[in-house]
Amino acid sequence: MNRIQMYASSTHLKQGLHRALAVTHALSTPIEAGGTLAWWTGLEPEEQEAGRLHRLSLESLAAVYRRPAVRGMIDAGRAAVALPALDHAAVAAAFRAAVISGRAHRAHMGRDIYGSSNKGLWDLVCADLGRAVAERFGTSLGDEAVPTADSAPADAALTALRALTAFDTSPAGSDHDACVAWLSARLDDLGFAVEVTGADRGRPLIVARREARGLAGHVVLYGHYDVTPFGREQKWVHPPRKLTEANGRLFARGVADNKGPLACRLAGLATLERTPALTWLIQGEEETGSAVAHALLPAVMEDLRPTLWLDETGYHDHEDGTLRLLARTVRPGDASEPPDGAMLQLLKALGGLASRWGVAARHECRGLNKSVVAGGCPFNRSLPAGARYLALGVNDSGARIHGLNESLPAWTFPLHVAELDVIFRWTGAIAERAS
Amino acid sequence: MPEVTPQQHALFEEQGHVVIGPILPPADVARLRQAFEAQAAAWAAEIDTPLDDYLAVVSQWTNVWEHNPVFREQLYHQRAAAIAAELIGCQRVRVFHDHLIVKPPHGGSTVPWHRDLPNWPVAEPRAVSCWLALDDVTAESGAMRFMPGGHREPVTRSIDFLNEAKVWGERERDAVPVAVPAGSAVFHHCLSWHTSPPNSTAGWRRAYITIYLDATCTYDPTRAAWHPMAGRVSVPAGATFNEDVFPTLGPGLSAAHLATLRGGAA
Repeated sequence: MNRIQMYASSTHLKQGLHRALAVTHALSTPIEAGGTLAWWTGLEPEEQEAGRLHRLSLESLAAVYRRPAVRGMIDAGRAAVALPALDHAAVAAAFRAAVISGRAHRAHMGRDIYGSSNKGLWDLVCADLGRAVAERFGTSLGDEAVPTADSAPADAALTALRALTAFDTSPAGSDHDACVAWLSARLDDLGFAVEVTGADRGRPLIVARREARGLAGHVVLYGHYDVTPFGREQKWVHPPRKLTEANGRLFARGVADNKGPLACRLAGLATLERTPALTWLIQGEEETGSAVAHALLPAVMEDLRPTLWLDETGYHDHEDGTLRLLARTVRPGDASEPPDGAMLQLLKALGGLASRWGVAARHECRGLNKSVVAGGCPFNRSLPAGARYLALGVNDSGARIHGLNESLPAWTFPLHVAELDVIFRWTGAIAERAS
Repeated sequence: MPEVTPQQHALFEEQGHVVIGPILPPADVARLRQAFEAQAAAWAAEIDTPLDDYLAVVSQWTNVWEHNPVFREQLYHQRAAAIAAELIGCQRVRVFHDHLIVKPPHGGSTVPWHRDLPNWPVAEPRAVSCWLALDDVTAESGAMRFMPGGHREPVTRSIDFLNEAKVWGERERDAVPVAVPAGSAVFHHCLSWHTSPPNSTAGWRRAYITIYLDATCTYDPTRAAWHPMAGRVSVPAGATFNEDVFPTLGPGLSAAHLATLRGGAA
């Protein structure tokens, strides 16, 4: 929330002050392949965990904001969104007032006029930054921090994933057509014009298109509804044909590859009012050679010139949740070059967003590793030279795709919806600038 | 003997506020001022802050009676409680909380237009505040302004001072500052609309406020859960408040006196 309210001004202020540190760090830090964004690593060792979780006290934040390096970082981050440097003397004075007010309230129920000291500090540090960031990247980047332990999929996403995993779309399965019908209906509900093609050649390809809703530009999304075989079902800890939630993870065949990402994006799109034009390509043979997609996707993709190509999912490190930002500029032969300057800004914003969930972000200049995909990935192979490519999503490196006990973390779902919002806002801004 | 004259009662009913007093002699007022000065110094020391810095920021304190025996004595002031009971029209009153609100010389901030009840976890609009002036309060030093008759209008939600403002338009002209001599008090209804400006004089503007509820008022946890007193309620929703934190005061009005008051108000 990019607002301070009288009823919880201390809480809102602390969130805003953490957010300002996270966002200005992301916007001011060069991001290179292999580089990691984690603003709290610049804090003293004993402060880092509380900083990561956005739980530093106001007194600790006052000390952090006094440090010359932090002041420089904040001013650089503000400059990145065309804001002037802070008046650090005024900020220090406002911190002092807010700290006195907070201490008096805790000690003997003394206070200022209903949060006015907190509001004074908020207005100096948080208000204009929040507005400037929201203009460029949407309000998701300004939402309250959500600790990973408390982050859970929306009911709509779980409902969608439960339905998708109930379809047997393994190579020997018989539910592919039913799954295509279900997906088509959901896409239709979301306002997509849906074309189902290639049924005469194999498992059909879904090509869904939606006009822009308030934002310029165009994003192409990719995904697939088929899954690998179930394997020895008795070896699964949870039944592979039925979605199970356990220990913060979601289990079933195909949850990670690729039904979870599909469900998350379907549910997420229903909540995002403004989007650029969207094209969603969803095939049904990724695990069995992609014959239909190899035949049809090149022609479909040849005419598309989107602002961004978004692959089927992306990954977090399962050890600590670090977000992998797989981003590149595509060169002939599916080769990768570093992202351009505009896309680096997007990566920084996504890194800042991840920090709101308390996880770091690391840029890797490559695409998803699809060496195990039979016949290669038709989406990646058909990307035009110069394409901006991003792989981002709900999976983590403990997902065990294609293996027994396939799963994915639940906490990544709300983050990915926020990522879509940031991506779409960035797309709109980039496309407007280019036109 | 009634504490409130029929004229004062009628004024309260019509306007939503009435100045009554003096209810304290000058010596008692001076004693309260001295108690505040000593208590403020102790509070500033408690959080290791110079007094001037402390008073430049902190301007109000809740439950002073729990910290300071002089204010505790004032809380149990029989005449103020009797006036409150007569204005509410109840047999006994209960203290919701007290607070000191101070605007230092050439200091303080505007308290925006608001009503009190929407900010309390109290179900019934049967309460008055006794705003006892510890200094001569003038329009220039930060006297409250009231919107006459506003207490008779429907209950509204609370106003977020940091994001909203009550806009009266032309009606703003009806609001007048209510000067209060030291030792006198303005009693106002819990639904009266009021505001106060900063203190633009060289003197202090100190007031000690006691909020009196009809003792039968009940706890409404759906309202103002953020209020500092909400965390000290230990009774279930719909029950009268716990006596340890919200004490009832005085012997109470006799049924005959109450019947007279209600008859008079009618």
